[in-house]
Amino acid sequence: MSDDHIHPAPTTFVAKYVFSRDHKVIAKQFLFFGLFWLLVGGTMAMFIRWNVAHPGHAIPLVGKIFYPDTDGAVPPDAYASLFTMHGTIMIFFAITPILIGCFGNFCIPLMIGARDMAFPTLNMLSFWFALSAGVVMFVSLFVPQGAAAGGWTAYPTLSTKIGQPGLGQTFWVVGVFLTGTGTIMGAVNYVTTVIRLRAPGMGYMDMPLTVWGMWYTAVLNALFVPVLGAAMMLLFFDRVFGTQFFTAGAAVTNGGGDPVLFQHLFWIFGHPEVYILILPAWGVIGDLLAFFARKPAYGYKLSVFAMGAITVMSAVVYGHHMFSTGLSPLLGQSFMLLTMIISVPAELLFLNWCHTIWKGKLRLTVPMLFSLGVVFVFGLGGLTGLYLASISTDLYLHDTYFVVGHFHLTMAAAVLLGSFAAIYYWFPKMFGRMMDERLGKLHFWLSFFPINFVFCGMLFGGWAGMHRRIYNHSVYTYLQHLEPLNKFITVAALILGAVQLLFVINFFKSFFAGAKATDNPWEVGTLEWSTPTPVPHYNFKEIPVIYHGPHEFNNPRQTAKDWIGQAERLPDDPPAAERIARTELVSQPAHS
Amino acid sequence: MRTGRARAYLAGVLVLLPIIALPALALADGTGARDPFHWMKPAPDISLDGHRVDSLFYTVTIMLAVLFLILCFLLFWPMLAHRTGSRHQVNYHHQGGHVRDLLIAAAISAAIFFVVDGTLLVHSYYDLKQAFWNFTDGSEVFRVEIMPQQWAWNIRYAGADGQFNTGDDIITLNDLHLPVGRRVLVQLKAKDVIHSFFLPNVRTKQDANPGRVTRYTFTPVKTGSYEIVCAEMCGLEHYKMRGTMTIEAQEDFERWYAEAARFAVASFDPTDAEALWGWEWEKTR
Amino acid sequence: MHMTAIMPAPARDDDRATSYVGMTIALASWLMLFATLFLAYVVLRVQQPVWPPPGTGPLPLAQALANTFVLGASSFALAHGARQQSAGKRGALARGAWAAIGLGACFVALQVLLWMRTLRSGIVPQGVFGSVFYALTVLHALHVLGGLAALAWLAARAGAAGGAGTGRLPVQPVSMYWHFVDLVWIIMFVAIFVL
Repeated sequence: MSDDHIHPAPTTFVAKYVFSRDHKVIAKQFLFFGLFWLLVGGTMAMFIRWNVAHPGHAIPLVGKIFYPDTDGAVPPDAYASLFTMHGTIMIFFAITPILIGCFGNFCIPLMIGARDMAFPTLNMLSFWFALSAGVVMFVSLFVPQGAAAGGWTAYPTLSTKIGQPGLGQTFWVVGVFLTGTGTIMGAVNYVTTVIRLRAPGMGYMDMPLTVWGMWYTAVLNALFVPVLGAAMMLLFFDRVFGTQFFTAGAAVTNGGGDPVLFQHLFWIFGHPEVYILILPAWGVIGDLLAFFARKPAYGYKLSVFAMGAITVMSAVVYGHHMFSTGLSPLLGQSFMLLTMIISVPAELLFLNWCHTIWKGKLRLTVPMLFSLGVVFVFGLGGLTGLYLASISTDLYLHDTYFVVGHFHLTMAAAVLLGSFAAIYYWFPKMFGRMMDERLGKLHFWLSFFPINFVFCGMLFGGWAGMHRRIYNHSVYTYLQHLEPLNKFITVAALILGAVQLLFVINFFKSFFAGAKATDNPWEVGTLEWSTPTPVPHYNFKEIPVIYHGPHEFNNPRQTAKDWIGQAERLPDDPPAAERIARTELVSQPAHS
Repeated sequence: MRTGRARAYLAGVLVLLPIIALPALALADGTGARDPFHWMKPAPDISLDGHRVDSLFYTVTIMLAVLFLILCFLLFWPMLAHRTGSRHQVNYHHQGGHVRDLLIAAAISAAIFFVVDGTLLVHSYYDLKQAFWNFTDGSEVFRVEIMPQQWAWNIRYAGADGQFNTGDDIITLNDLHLPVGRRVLVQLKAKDVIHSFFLPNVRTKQDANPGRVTRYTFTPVKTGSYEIVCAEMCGLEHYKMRGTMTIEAQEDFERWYAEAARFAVASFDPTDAEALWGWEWEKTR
Repeated sequence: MHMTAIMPAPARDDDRATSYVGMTIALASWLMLFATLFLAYVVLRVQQPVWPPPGTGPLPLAQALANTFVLGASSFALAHGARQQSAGKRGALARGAWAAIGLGACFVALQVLLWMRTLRSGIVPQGVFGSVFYALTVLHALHVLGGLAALAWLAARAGAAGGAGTGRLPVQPVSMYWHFVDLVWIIMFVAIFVL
């Protein structure tokens, strides 16, 4: 399906908003889908935190609605379902739809000057797969014997019939498989779109970092989500048809399979997955820091290569999730070394971000604040990763709250703040109205402190030896003294949860009554801001020719304003034909 | 501009709050009055090699704290000093594309890599080789078999004949007795689902899988009673899968062992197929 | 200010190149799926002292070899039809596609017979050998069924186009998928039946 010509705009409501093939509408569908699940997963997090601080005590206000049998307290089996579903929902149904589904869809075609994705129908299917997966997951919350409770990692044999006889875990497997299928469809689309549909004159090194991040993520999704898919199929067969891939012959189980095999398969996918989630956020903040520092992104090419190196490396370090499974020492040490090497490109990224804002003219808008917040929390998360890469310290910290704190700082805090940055930044283009700046700043500062208290607090708890996924830590004498810490974390978490109400208010207030956005409110040069607001169905009336990179700020050649549009031709720029010619071989031809 | 700057300073101060606020928790906790870090203290280290983890952790923490403070400065100083309206010129041409810039970036990254990651790599390598993954077996080693199940620890000693899975084996539940000062080698194999044998006082853990044997080794050097923890989610009562480890002086241990051996022989039921749940001791590969 | 290129109607080559890129990535994705299944197989197999485990009868090699030829012939028929069509022979694509469908359906039927035979000989989907054998071959057969649906759609469209105007049909991506499924079967045949 080519998008060179303008498709007729859909006219009926169903074609326009339900079964839409327009990437902008699909982006919004993903956004609302993701925000809904973010609310569900976030509420679960609040319940989990309440129970960690007050195990077995009734949840105030809402407890009786959710747990009438126990008078409002979370029972142990429900607690296991809570942390299992919280992880699953946040990763597959909140972050993936918001950051990849929504902003991948919205930004890629608009930022590379395309009229739509390469395969609009596949794009629509991608959302409908995600939605049906969401329905399956939602239903699984209410099946008899409860939702899946084997942890989001679903390690067999706990996740087979031996440990999870109920329907919930089967639904979980099906849901994860379906959403994975949708993700792969999206990924095929993103990768193809970036390769094939860049506007004439736009070389790979003229793409905004956002597009790079999304593209790397899509590559990883296309290659590694199938690994999860295969693991899910085999687990499904084990559960439903009685095969024995993951059950070994032991005292009370039989089979010639291997439970550790599942861990290998899961983490071959799972480690790329953490980069799948963070790469789009890195891309977005790489752009936003430059946009709001009014400076070109420092070391743009180095950032692109560093992100590429991390993308490649992410495939060969998964073993660090399995140091305590009894890996052979040689294999363990190799994974340790490889994991440590990833810190080098990550350091380069940090250097570039810091260098970008250094001696700029910072506009501390809400998206900028959130971007700076990402650098801060990802700094904490990245540094704490080193303890877990080193086997010696990992054998102590593995499966403790240190790990929980670490991956929440990287995958939750950094990605969530990155998502907020993206929402505040692209909201005007998506919905035609500005979000409230003051509410937004309040939202940032009131979120920033609790989010750090919560996840840094977990690091301390982990160092003290508190292991994860336990219903009641006070049964252990060596954890008794952690009660004040756990209560503190819970208070911070509840505040963090409550503060998100500011975002909800801001979102809906701005959606209906925000100030009308101009076409380019942030004064940046990337292509999406050269379109009218609201963006027409066909995006670009005429496909632009690209003359400049995405971060042309304070270029002395342009003195009238401090930015240059990517499609803006300055008097001494080369003629259009020359720009088109340089990308003709790799991009879509402008003339046939 | 002035109010903007003041506000930014305020923001900077607020950002430092996590570092100040968390130790302040100690004040809320009466028992911690003597030690300001009581609220985050790990269980006491009782093993010969646990200090390796502690010292590596603290060393690297100091290094990373320095790096993090540098990051904070690089992040917050521009927020204060390099804002819209500040007088300096934005240098458009310095975009990090020159060879010199690349070399500087590479040098900084390499320096951090060799110092911080290098410390971790080298220490880890020797820690594993000499202690945590040094599973050399022999007569000087004290052997135990442990089979965790949902939700308890089955513990088996070789008994008088020195052979595992025979009628004279000592079997306990959730009650691990060990002599002080002698290296212990544990072989683990799970009964049903995956568990993880975690001794917080020893600073290391090892998963126990159904169907395959894994190993765990340490040398207790302090007598006392400590907790055995399951660190891998293993089902509903994972959270209370708690065992007790008693480290005793050699003579106390021998007394306990002789008594237990007597009971073991007396209570062994050869017709009970379940009684021999152990396995022949697996030789170190 | 904005210099723009006026976009002409889409060039057909361009569409083809885009769908070629898309299908290549999709197949890379599928390749990872099957690679994972093979990895699981290898990991499980090397842990067994003998293969197949004692008590598991041998698989019917000759019948599997016949299946391999049938699926290979199906791939060949499609490739031949597409080549003839692009050489200008009207209706060759539809004929090739229908032949491929016939042979592909034949393959699925033969697979069902093969499973019935193995089940009779006592190889059940339990234990590591039965698990691997049934899971891998069934998952492959499901992909064959998907391919048959795509081929049927293609053949119907090619037929409706009356032998002309097939240039706009996604012949290449469908062929790529079909050959891929064939290739996977050949690897599976060697890995499971021969080795």
